[in-house]
Formats: sequence, structure tokens, C-alpha cells
Amino acid sequence: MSALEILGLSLLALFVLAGALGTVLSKNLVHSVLWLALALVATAGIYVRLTAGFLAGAQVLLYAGGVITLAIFAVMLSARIEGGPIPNESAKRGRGALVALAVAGLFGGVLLQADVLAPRDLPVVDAADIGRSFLGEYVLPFEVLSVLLVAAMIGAIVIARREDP
Amino acid sequence: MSVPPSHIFLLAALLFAIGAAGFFLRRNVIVVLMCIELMLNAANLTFLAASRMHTLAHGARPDLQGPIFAIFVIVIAAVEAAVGLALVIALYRNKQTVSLDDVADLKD
Amino acid sequence: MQPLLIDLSIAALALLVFVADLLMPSEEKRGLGHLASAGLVLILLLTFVLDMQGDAFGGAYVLDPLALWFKRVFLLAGALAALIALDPAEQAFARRQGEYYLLLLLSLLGMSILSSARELLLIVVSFELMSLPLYVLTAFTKSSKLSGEGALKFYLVGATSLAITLFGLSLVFGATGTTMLPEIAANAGAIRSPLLVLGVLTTLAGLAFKIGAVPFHMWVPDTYEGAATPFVGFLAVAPKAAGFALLVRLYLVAFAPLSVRFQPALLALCVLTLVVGNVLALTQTNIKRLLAYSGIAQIGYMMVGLLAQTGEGVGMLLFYLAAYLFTNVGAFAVVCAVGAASGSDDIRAYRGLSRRNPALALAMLVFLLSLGGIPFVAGFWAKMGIFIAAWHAGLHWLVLLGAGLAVVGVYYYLRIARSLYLDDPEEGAQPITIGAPLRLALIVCGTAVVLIGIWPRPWFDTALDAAKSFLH
Repeated sequence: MSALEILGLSLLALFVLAGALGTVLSKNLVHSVLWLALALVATAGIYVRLTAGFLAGAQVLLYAGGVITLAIFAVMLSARIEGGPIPNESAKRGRGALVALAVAGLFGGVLLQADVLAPRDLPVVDAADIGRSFLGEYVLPFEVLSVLLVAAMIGAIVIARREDP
Repeated sequence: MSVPPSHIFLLAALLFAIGAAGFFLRRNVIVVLMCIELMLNAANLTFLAASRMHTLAHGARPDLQGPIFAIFVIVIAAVEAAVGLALVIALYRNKQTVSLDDVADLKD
Repeated sequence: MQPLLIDLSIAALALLVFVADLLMPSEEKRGLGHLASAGLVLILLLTFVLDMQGDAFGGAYVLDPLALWFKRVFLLAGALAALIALDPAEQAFARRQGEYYLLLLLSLLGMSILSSARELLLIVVSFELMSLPLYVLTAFTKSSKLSGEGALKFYLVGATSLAITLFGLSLVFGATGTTMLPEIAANAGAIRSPLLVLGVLTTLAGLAFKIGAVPFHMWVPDTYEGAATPFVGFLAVAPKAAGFALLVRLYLVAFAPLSVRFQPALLALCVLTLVVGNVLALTQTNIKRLLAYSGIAQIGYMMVGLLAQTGEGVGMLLFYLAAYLFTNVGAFAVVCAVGAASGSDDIRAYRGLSRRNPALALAMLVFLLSLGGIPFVAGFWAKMGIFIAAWHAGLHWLVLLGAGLAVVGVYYYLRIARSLYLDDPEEGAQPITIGAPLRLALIVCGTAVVLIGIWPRPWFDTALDAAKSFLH
């Protein structure tokens, strides 16, 4: 692994963390959403570095595309109803920082002990193989997932629709 | 090219920690929802790093379980976000607020 | 395909309701509730007629006696929930009845698949299929502000619990390299990685949220109070049962070699749940919140069965679930009737119920006795069985604690039971009339509670059978 590649990956990791921190700490709701987008897209970059290009594509399309758009929608809709910027204050900063440190310390400490394997070339995850698995050994979860999508679609419409006349 | 999986694990742990802290820290429902997305994203990073680790350990054929799990989680996260934001909109229409502090009619 | 037949039938029924909803004129949507309820009863009967046991998809899906027991619990809970909802649904959201029953069936499908899943991916997806419709159903009565608020709390806790569970499972996958539970079980003993222990504990925290174990219980009373009463009976029983199905498959089979590591955490959860559930129930004045805390306490008793980590413990857990199903659905059906008549869920509304509707008061008395664990109703044998199994497993002090808290429980159940008969009704209280569907549900639940109480032997035997073939 060349120095340049390590640098690139470190940079991506930095973007992920900065995006996450920005999401949590930003005072402005729209900025929060944009920070989240940064974190999610940077994660997709890491997926590419981990040779899972197809997954990176799914991440950008579904997560960065779909979820961020939904979040923006929600922000805009609730802003329109209120007719002004939405309050986005946070509470108990000290407690939050404590939770973050404790969780990070616990997980980080354990995870660093995980096996560090010698880096070498990895085979690329092929989208065709993933597709075959979806319709092969994972066909049952795949079908259940489609039912889930139907349920979510119906559910979201039922909740968000205005009350019947 | 490849990276030591433990570093990716560490990144995922940090991401999860930030998301978890945000969940307790923030009072705006939409931000809380985004914190949940961060936590799910952390789980995905771990799945992928673990999958790479197993591929490294076992050689020739890439492990597919990790990436497939991650794709499923992405879809589930999107589905959850859709329903969650619908709930937020319904709540907003009813109470004109997105702050969890104002969502306190139900208390002992 | 044979083992999948039950789940395929539920899916087909959901599809049928979906299509019928589109074709029916909006005044006749009530028929969809009849369809859902009757269909579920039919599928339930099917499980007794056909022998479908076996596995599919390389062991990822299995229909064993354990899964069959859970599926029957879900089907029965679903059929009763659809029946109880018939009248209130028509009044509260006449035009959205189709969606109500459809989402109920889809949630049921998720639970049913979950009880059979032996692969992490299938577990996660079916878990989500179970949970998502529940959030929507909690928010269904849009005219009530509490409904949306309860739903949002339920959703936030559920989504977080999913994220925590997934992170835990990703660590388990990292340590074992497989998503198949039988393979995890085979390898777990040999793996010394701290990843695995951390993953197992994180997953447990996520699932504790889901079953409402203390200290992850805050959402339970709020959600119960906010949601429509006809739905709460279902919410209090079916998803909890599904959570236990998953706990049994994960913690008593897949992660069993690590039991030394997670046993203390499970024990702490169990003790906290027992104490907090029973003690906080004492102070409640709203019947739904009281039943919510009582439900939390019941979860604690079921965790005692889990902690025994024996076939007997699981068998008694299954028996407890069946008894709890009839008792709780029945109790919430009474709450539904009283709430509809008096417009209040305050326990004062239950004063002198015997003079407003003697049959309803008698039914409530039976359910309260069962919840309290008084001899010769279902709840007595359920608690007794759990305690005996735990005693055999050597958890003596836990049994003593549980028995002590059960006495506390008797106090707050009997306090209501007493006011049913001895207090005067509030001024201006009218006699309560109940519709035919609700009456049928009450008769089914009441008869079952009494019948199990008088003659528990066949239920014990079947439950132990289902568990023995499962745990070696």
C-alpha cells in the first residue's frame, strides 16, 4: 500500500468523522443534513477503497440520494408550516460528550485488538455475484425485503396523508 | 490494495459513538433520526471491514455475506427513514414542533 | 416449500385483503376485518392438520416445534386483534380500515418468519417487517395527539434498538465469519476474539429495548397510553413473543457457548425488570399504564425462564407466553369496552363495573386474577412453572425474589378487582353494552384462561415437548 493510498484513506476517514460530528453539533438544521451527506458520501469512498464498488454505488444512490432528500423534505415541510427557521437546540452537552467518550473508548479498545492482517491484494466483489446471491441463497430475505418496502410505502402514506375529509 | 481491518473497525466504533451521543444529546427529532442513520452506517462499515477480513483469511473467493448484509441494511435504513419522517410530519402538523422536549404530553 | 406453507398463507391472506380493499366500496370495508380474522383462524387450524415440519434454504429457515408454537401464538393474537378492532376501527378510521388490517397482517408475517429464521440476514429483515407496521399502527388514530407522540417514541426507540442490534450483529459476523446460526453455534466456543463477546452483549442491549426490559423500558407505558386500545392488546403480546423467539434462538443456541459471559448481564436485566415493573405498577392511576408496567413485570418473569437455560425453562416460557396471550388480550379488550363507554382509561372508571355490566366485570376479574397469579387460573400455573424450572436450574434466590414481587403484584391487581365489585360506580355512569365481536373475543380469552387454570396438563406437555426437541 503506497503512502499516497494511505493518505487518501485517512482523508476519507477524516471526512466521515468530520461529517458525523458536524451532523451532531451543527446549530443549523440544513447544515446538519449537509454534514450527514458528507459523512455518507465519504463512507462510500471508503467502500470503494475496500473494493466494494457496487456497494458504494448503492450507498450514494440510496443513502446519500434517497435519505438526504427525504430529510431535506422533512426540514422544508416543517419549516414551511412554522414559517421560519426551526429551533435546533441541544441539551446536556456534557452528558452527550460523556456518552460518546465512553462508547468510543469501550468499542475502540476492544476493536483495536482485532486481528491485523498483512495487507495484500483483495479480489473485487463482483456485482454479478451479488445479484446471483440475491436470487440464490438469499432469495428469502430478498423477498421479505420487498414485502417490507410495500409495508413501508403504505405505512408512510397512511401516516403523512392529511386526515380524511 | 488493502487496509488493516482493525482501523476500519475503529472508525466504525467512533462513528457509532458519535451517533449514539447525538441520539442522547440532540432534541430535534430530525437530527435524532440522522444520528440513527450514522449508527446504521457504522454497522455497515463493520460488516464490510469484517467481510474483507474474512476474504483475506480465506483467500481466493471474495466473501459476499458482508456486502450483501450492508446492501440490505442500506435499504432498511432508507425504509425506516421514510416512515420516521412521515411520523415527524404528522407530529408537526398536530403539535407544530419538532423538538423532543415539547413531546411530553405522555408522562407519569 | 412445505415448511414455508404457514408464512405463505399469511402472505396470501395479506394480498387478498389488499386486493379486496381496492375492490370494495368504502361502506363495506368492515368485511376486511372479518376476512383477516377468519383467515387467520383458518391458518391456525391448518397448523394442527398438516405436518409441515422441516427446513428450507440450507437451514436458514426452519419449522420446528418451537417455531410452530410461536406461530400459533402470533396467529391467535392476530385473529383476536382483528376481531377486537372491528367496531372501533369502523368508528375511528372507517376509510382506512383496509390499511389497518393489511399492516396488521404484514407485521404478523414478519413475526412468523422471525420465529423460523436461523440466519442473521433473514432475522434482521423479518424483524424489521414486524416492527415497521407496528409504528404505523400505533400512529393510526390521527385525531388523537397522544397517538402520534406514542408512535414517535416507539419508533425512535425501535430504530435505535435496530441500529444497536445491527452493530452488535456486525461484530458477531466479524468474529465468526458466518451469518448462519448453526455455524455460529458450532464455532462460538472456539473463538477467543473479544469482538464476539462485545457483539453478543451489544446485541443483547438492542434486543432488551425491543422487549421492553428495564432499563430500556421507558417507551412502553407511553406507547401503550398513546396507541388505540384495540391495538395495544396485540402490541403487548405478539412483538414481545417474537422478541423471546429471537432471544431463545440467539442466546440459548447460537451464543450458548458464551453463556458465562452474557449470563450476568441477562440476570441484571431480569432482576431490574422484575423489580421496576412491579414497583412502578403500584403508583399508576391509568389502567393502560398500569397494564404496561404489569407487562414489563411479566417480561421479567419470562426472562427468568430464559435464564434457567434448560429445556424445562424454555418450555415454561412457551407456556407462560400462551397464558399471557389470553390474559393480556382479554384484559385490554375489557379496557377497550370500558374506555369506549366512559371515554376514560382512569382506574376510577372501573368502580362498580359489576353493576354496569356484570359479565364484563367477571371477565376482568378473571384476567386480573390470572395476571396476579392466583391459583386455578392460567397465570398461576405460568408463574409456578417458571419458578419450578428456575429452581431446578439452581436459581434459588431469583425464584424467591420473583415470588416476593408476585405478592406485590397481587396487591395492585386485587385493588382493581375489589373496586370492580365493592365500590359504587361514578355518578351518572351508564350500563355498558358491548358489541358481538368484542364479546366473542372476551369469551374466547376468558374460557381459555379458566380452562388452562383448571386443566393445565396438556398445555404443559405440549410446551415441554416443543422445547425438548429443541434444546438437547
